Amino acid sequence: MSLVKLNIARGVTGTLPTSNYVDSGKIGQVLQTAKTDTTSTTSSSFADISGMSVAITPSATSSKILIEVQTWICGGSSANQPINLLRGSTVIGVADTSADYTMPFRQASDGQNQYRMFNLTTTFLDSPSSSSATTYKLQWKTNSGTLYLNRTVDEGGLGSGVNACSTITVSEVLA
Amino acid sequence: MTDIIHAIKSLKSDAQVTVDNDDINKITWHDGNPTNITNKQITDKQTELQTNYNNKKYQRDRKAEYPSIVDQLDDIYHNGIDGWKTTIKATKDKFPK
Repeated sequence: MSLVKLNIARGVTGTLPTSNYVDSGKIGQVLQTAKTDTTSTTSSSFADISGMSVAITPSATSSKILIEVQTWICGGSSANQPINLLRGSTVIGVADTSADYTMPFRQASDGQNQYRMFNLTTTFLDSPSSSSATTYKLQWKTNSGTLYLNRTVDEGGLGSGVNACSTITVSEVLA
Repeated sequence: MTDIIHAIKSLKSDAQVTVDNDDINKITWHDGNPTNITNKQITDKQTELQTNYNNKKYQRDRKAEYPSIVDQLDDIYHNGIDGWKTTIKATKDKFPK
């Protein structure tokens, strides 16, 4: 490795050497899916949330993927109504317990559930160790009642047509 | 209009289904639709439920208008049952069946 002495007082010109670590930590690409319509489910087993998936092809196997999820949901009951984040078919961003939900959710029993939307969010830095197209998606289920995305159960609260937009954003973090 | 998923649950309370954008053509049956519920059955149920909802508008209007239970008890204490009935009747008359 060569050593170059610089005289700052006389100014510095030239080109910095390139290396493998110069781009480390930089964002390589950012992709987002925004779901602007609504969906609802009564499924008691995990099912895909339509429109809430995004595919990214990392430029290198060493890249990490930063996933940012924002959802607006409303359930009419006080049952467990979790949302999971998946890489392919693998649930990620979960606690080290048997009930491995990325975003556990249960509303209060105060008679107002049907009028509120809740903003469930999560951020997770994943290491897919792949340079192939990788899909991140959301699944949900409800142990009781109906679960809505981007709207309330009863639109009499916020007003008919007052909906929300949910997003899933992935960013490639270069190694 | 009443939600499609609400209509489906009224037809089959344990239906396992997802509906996108409240669109009759975007229904996913997670249970395979074992009772073969048709789109017409769903839209007919929607109409029925919406009619029932509309017919009970007076109930919702009255509920929003009635004084609180505390105020009604206070009304009874100060004005007796007849006074309380007068108060309640004003709301019932305002929103007839």
